[in-house]
Amino acid sequence: MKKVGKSPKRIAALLLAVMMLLGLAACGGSVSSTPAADAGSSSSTAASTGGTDGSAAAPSGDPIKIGLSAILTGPAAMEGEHVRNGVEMAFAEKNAAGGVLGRPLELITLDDQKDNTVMVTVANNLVSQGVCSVIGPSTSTGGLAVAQVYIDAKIPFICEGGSPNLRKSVLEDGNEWMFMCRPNDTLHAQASADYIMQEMDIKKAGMLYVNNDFGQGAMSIIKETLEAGGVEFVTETYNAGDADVSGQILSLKSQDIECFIFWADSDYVLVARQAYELGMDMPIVASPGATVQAQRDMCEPEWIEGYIISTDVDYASTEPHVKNFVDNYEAMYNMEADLHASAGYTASQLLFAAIEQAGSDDPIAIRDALATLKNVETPNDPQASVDSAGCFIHQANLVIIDDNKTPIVQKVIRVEVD
Amino acid sequence: MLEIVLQLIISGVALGFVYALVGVEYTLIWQSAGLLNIAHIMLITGAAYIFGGTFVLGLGLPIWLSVILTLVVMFFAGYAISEVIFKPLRKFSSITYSVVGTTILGKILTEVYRLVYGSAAFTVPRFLYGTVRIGNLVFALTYVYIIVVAILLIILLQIFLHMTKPGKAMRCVAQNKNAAAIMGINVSQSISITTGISSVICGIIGILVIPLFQISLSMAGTIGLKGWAAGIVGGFGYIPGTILGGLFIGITESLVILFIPSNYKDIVAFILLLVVLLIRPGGIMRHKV
Repeated sequence: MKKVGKSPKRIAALLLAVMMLLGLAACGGSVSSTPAADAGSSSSTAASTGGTDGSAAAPSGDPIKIGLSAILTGPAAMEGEHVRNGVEMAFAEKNAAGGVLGRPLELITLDDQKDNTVMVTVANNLVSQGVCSVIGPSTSTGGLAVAQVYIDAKIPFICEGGSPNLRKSVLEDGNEWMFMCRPNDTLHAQASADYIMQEMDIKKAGMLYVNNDFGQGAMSIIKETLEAGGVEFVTETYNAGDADVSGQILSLKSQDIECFIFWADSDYVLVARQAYELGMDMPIVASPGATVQAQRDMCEPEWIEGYIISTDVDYASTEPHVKNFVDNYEAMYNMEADLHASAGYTASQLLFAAIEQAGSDDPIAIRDALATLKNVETPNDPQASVDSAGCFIHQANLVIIDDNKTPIVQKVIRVEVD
Repeated sequence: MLEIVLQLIISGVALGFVYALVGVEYTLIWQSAGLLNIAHIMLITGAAYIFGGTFVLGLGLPIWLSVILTLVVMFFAGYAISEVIFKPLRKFSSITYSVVGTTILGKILTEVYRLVYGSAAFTVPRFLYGTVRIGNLVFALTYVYIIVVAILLIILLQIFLHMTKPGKAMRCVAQNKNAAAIMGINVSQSISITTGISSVICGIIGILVIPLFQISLSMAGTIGLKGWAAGIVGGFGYIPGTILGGLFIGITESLVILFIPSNYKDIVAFILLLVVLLIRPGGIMRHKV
């Protein structure tokens, strides 16, 4: 047996120590408390850009603690950065305008790494820190994973996920502590399917979708709508992380489809590129990826020109509820707002309104207020109103991408709040 | 139908070569240092970041110069990793230490890339962009580049290993380190040169797959796993077997979507891996384990 030297042991121990430190930093150690005073560094900016006149009385008293579970490290950290930016901007603006109930807002941000296990740890951590409500997590599976923690603690949380399973959790499993601040995925799929039926005279459509909850959910809705309208519907699927979808695209193309639909998540750019390269010269209806700046930047204009997409927000809108948010965000962070940023901002606004309506930061009172909250003006929906499934957003925008990669709104879709 | 089959074969061969190159780069380290380099995925990723993020987009250098500089950086990075991390890890009796050590190295590199380049995925616009048309067939230029570069690289590697002094030294070290040392070969330096070359191959893979996966922290996860599978299917620790294993997996998983739903195609690589481990542990080339 080889003798184990002292030096390798030291190096291994050092590496392990560094690893553990990184792990801690990524998990519990990344607590970035953003109290009112903290936000002050950015709140002065927010006050000047956020439309407040700066004359509001300074908030006083004990801070109202709100938690944020966001993806701050790992491959999806950009999503979390936008969410955190949106939330911090809303907090800074609100604190600059006098806080909520005259009290300052304190944000406690923890990194959930887009890992369901870490999300549960983060949820427990936030509960132990005495937050009155929580924003996040930002994934649907994460929302379901942490639900029991918040049910047990009786603390409301606003999830940014859009899966129909979240609605099911509220409606069928009695999860009355969860609310949603983005349009449900079914809304985008239904809007896309309706557009095909109303605007296109086709007999056959083909869909390529990512083989997960997001893709399958959209596929079943689009299939149901198109087949009910007499349109023949064929499908192909792929797994997230696949390097090649040309076989599936060619298979659909060979079946003489007249409209190509694809629902892709992190592989959006790959599908868009291969569809272009393989000559899919027909109307293309796609999931919202090309309206997210990070994805759009990686696409050549010719790949996505003409794409028909249902998306959360029309960021080019001149409506005040969108324009103020978009302009302030760009001024504050020097980057374009995207649907993650607007989700964070919207969730914050909903919580502020609920706390004001509740008249206190008691979690149960806030939950009760959220469950009846109506007509809150947010970037995602100018009349955000909760429905029986805890979902606040009932508006989507149908856009067509122009030759400069700019989404041009065709119509705004609203669904009735039940 | 013929068009689809040919298209699938081309993409299968291209991805097969990517898996093969991944298999080759980790086999080189396994042969020379006896270590499993779990961090190879992050070396592939790092090359893409250095090439795209620093040289092309950051410094605005031309592609050819960026490629050369990236590969030079990768060689020295590999050499340094060998000197600082692999050599101490080799002294441990179990490969568990190398697995743990290189896993940690991968995690550290992930966070370093995130801190230096940010979290957002990006790409090099119009890099290896375009298509090749032959009749009704349309091939992405990326695949053509991957196939041509991979073949050239494998030929060059064979020439290096069999016809140059350092290459022969590397093979001697791979076969018997004690005998190589007795014959006057600097085993330690040979291992570091091998790691440097393995790192250069990681660099070439990272640059070639940018059009397929863009540049992100998760870009090399899938090919990294299938590269392992390629090595085992072809014959663990045996470079010709690894190349064949990569091509076998690439073409099989590509063509299999003609017969089964395409969402099951990933299973194919791992079923092949399991079958080979159970009934032909030496791999399809029957290399002695």
